[in-house]
Amino acid sequence: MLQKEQPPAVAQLEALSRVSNRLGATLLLDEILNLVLLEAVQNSNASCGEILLLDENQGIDATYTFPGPAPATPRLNEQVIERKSAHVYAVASLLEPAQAREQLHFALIAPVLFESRVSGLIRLISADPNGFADTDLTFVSALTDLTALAVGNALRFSELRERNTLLQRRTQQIEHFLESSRVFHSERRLEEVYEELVYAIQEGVGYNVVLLSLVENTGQGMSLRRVTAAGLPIERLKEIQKTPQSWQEVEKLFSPNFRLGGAYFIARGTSSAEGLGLSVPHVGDLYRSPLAPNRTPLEKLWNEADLFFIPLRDMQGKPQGLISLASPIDGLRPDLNTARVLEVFANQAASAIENVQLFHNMWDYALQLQQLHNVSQQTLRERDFDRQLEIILDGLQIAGWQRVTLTLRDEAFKVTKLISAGLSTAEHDALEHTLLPAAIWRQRFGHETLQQYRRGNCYFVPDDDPRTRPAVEAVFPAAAQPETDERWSPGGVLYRPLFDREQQLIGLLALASPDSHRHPDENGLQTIDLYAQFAISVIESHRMFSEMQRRSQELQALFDASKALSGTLKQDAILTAMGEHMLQAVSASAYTVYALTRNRRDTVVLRSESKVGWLDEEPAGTQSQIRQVSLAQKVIETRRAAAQDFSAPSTGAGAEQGERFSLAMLPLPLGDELFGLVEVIATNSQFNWTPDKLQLLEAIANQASTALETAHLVEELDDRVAQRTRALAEEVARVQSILESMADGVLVAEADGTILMANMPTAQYFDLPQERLVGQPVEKLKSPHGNGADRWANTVRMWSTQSASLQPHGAVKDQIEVGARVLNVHVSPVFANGHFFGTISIFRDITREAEVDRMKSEFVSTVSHELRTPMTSIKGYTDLLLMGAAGEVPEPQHRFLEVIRKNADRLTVLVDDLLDISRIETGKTDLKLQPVDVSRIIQHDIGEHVRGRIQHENKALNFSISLEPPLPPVHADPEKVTRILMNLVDNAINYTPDGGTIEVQAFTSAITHTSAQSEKGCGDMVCIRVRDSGVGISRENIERIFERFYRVEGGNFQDAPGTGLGLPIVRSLVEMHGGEISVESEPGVGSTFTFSLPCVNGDKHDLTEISSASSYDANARKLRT
Amino acid sequence: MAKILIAEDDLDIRELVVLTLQFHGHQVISASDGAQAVEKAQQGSFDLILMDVRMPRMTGYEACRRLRENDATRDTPIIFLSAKGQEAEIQAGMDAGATQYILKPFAPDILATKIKDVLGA
Repeated sequence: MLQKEQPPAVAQLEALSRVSNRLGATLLLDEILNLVLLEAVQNSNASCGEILLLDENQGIDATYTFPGPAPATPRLNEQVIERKSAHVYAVASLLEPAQAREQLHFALIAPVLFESRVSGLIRLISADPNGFADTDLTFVSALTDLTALAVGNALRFSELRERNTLLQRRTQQIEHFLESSRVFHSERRLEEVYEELVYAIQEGVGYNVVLLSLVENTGQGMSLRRVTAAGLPIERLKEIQKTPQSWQEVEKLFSPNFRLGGAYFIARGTSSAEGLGLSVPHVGDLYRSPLAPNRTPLEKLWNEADLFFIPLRDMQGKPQGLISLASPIDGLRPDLNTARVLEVFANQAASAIENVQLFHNMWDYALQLQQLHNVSQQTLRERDFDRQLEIILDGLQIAGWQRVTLTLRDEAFKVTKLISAGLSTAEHDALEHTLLPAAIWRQRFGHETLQQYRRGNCYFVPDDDPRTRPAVEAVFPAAAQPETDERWSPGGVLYRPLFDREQQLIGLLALASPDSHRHPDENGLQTIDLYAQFAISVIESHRMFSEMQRRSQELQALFDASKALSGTLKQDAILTAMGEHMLQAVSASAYTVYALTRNRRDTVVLRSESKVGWLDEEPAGTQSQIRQVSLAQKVIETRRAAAQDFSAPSTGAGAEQGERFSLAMLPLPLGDELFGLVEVIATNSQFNWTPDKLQLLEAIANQASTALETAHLVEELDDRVAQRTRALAEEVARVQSILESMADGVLVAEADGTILMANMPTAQYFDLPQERLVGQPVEKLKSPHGNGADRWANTVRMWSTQSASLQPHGAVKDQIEVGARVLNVHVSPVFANGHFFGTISIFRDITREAEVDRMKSEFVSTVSHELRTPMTSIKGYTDLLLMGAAGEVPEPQHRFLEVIRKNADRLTVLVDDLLDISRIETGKTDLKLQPVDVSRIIQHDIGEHVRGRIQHENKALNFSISLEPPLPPVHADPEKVTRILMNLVDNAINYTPDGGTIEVQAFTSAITHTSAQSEKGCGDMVCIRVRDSGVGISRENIERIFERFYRVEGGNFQDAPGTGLGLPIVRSLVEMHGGEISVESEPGVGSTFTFSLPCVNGDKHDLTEISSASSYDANARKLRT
Repeated sequence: MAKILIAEDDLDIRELVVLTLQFHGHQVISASDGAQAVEKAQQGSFDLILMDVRMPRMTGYEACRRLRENDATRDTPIIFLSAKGQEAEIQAGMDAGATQYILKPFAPDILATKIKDVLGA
């Protein structure tokens, strides 16, 4: 009985385990949902079930059903969606109104909550009148959690896949671009292209010195960078490169006054341009000017202070840079022609530069992307999370950031992980301790001031802002490398916060020391973004994986605990198993189980175990104060788990005073009552009681509670069973003593014929001790006392092999001789719950009755013998006299002698009939059954007899025989049939006056009108009818004519021969054959006697009753008559 | 005309049989019990022996068996005349070796007819 209740819990847990295993193995939502549904229906009381997936508007997105569609309950669905909790509803009828309205159905509906939204429903329908068990509700709720996880996984998986597809597409584009541009680019450095340009101008336009400067955006406005020069020594170029040039200042020179074609020429002394340092540095010592003809006027001669330059513009007219020229080879100031030539070169240069820059940038970007692709490939191959993050940081290093850190943050922005690249071990270790506290970080990043540092999705924080300084130092040690490049503040840090899908900050990427010593341009920022996004996806995947792993571990822990808990029925073992599994599940150190007493103030320690020295284990059974009374009070009131930190007791031996520890208090319910409390203590300072952990422990406590309930139930049941066993034993003893005190023998045999029980009289009858009977086969009783018991034993045995055809009320009686005893045995099959259980035999000692019987029949025999002897003389001498043996007898004497003879004959018949009836009634008459031809008996014996009598008695009777051929043979004793017919025709002759008719008919009758036979399913019968036109029998007499010695009074036939025993004998004989006799009569018209005898082919009625024909059968029938 | 032995302890019935058989022209010798019947049967050769079943000194069954064991009387027809009419009793008589079994009371003329039948066979 308990066994039956136990498996569902285990089966349900196993189902949960299966689902969670599948969850870890596949991301295919369909597969998991189908499994969830299957397990839900099969392991609960449900008859069918359904999972609905809902979209944002609670519309149905997808439906899964098992084994077929479940009846809809839209109103209940809405209720569950609203309440966001599982419910069981009893529904009058979920079927069409026409069908089974009275039948009660149950619907269990549980919401699938994903990110606090009802994203689906599990619906189970039960037609079972018992509905759903509480365990079903818990089970389905657990399934909904798993379903939510599956839905989340599927969602994230598809997002991840989309993101990966996007990344892959981009990478492919880039690769394509790389392929084509590589040919064009031919690995040449940008600087080389510029150099070529300036040398081309040097030669083409005819100036010794050509300087190319390009406009750049440094983030602090446009400035001019000197890129390369022709005709200038390297040292001089480097010197001027140090001086930055504001583009704004330069633009002021683009005045129409100085315009010369597309270029500008500013003669010496005409402007303050010199102060700008725009001029090509002094080159007089490099290039002498006497090349110009002497007669050339001075104003046409090139002066070293002259400025000649042309701006470079891209296709859109945006300034690109500047080409400055100095020291013309002909020594002359430029004219318009010169300017026009320069213009052509400048245009070409501009487009070349633009192209080259474009390619260059794209090349860089492509390389970065390829690098990212490599990183992503590498990460995917890597299983270890830390290693994955390191690969990403390595990628960023390759992308041009020498020092990179990545910190992962929890919800409170606490650092949970730190990964770095480009930092020395010492630096890394130092960072772990100096990382900025979460609060400050949040403040900084929430602060408006930070917005001014925003660059795309990144923030650049220079080292000179006192507000952000601590942040910078926190991420990178103050020992920033001495940096000379003015464009990247040496202590600056570029931050990229990492947000998850819900815009929750989950980490921070910090980059410093760019290879280029420059701020990243748009492409650079984009690259960082790509890495950041990649890092996010890696972190999220990891979180998902860990979540799944954690869930799976929780389930495993719960499963293990349940298994352990369901394995025992002892309270102490249950509590120990619960405690041990709780400690294991959350890695805690100690637990104590308190039992609540009635007033809930005192508690009794039931179990206590500690793995920490100072936390003394409390001896079981002690009255104890709960450590945290207020917490306990709260748990008792809310019936929910609660956790709290507390300080170690000052007296603690192994703990430092005041050290913090975490304690959780759990309710331990028992049915609706609170059985006790469980205290779980974690001594690890890093320990944190998350809701998940508490939930897990609660689940284990609930499992333990169920086990306790079962244990208590078992205890109760044990008591009850013991009680019932006692009662049963008493009952058995009572029955036994009743059976023992019975005068009759009682023997019970099992279905296989083994004796189960035999009382004292039985043992006496068989002359064996009782204990030697029980357990023995019934055959054991066969031989020792002759073969008297054989028929009985055979019957018992036969029934055991043919029990299928037995009927509950088919009993058989027999009379057997065992030793000197004559026993009446009554055997019946016993059926228990419709199954053949065995047989019960009741033996009655009828030795004395049998003896009386024997004496009676001997008496009858003797009496009839003694009567016959004198009658022989009376009849014999009368006959002799009538024969004339003693001479002629005169008429009057002759008549008197006839009277004597007639009465002597009558007396003889009376004696014969008496003897017959006596034998029939004591069951001494045997039927010698055989196939009998009735027509032969009628035609020969009866015909002869009747004609003989008619002739002999000189009667005027019309006698006829009417047979309906062909008459089948009957199953009968021919002598008895003759006797029956003789009696009937004699009666007919006796009561039919002269001139009347007597007719004997015989015909076949199909299954007859008679109920007794049709019940036995007998076949055809042969009916024999003796009809006379005699005096008939009055209505009041007709019912009594088969009574013994009843003779119809009055009438003219007072002197008719007969004993009053003829008809009773006839009826007995007919019935012995299984036939029936009836009479129809009308006074003055005649009487008709009809009796039936079974045909040979119909002789199966007795066989069906006891299933097989045997000699025993015939005897049994004999007994029944 | 045959030579018939009648063994019957009841004097009235014995005389009845003797008278009946003599009336029908037979020669009749009588014996009053089984032993005497066996003795007489062995002395003279008889065509037929009639015997009661219940007789003093030796029962008809026993006498019949004895006669059947004797060469002289082995094939002599023996008819029982008995008031014992139960099937088992009749069967016992036939088993002892009787040719016929006539139940008492009997009609003398029927007895004569049956004797005639047996002798003629």
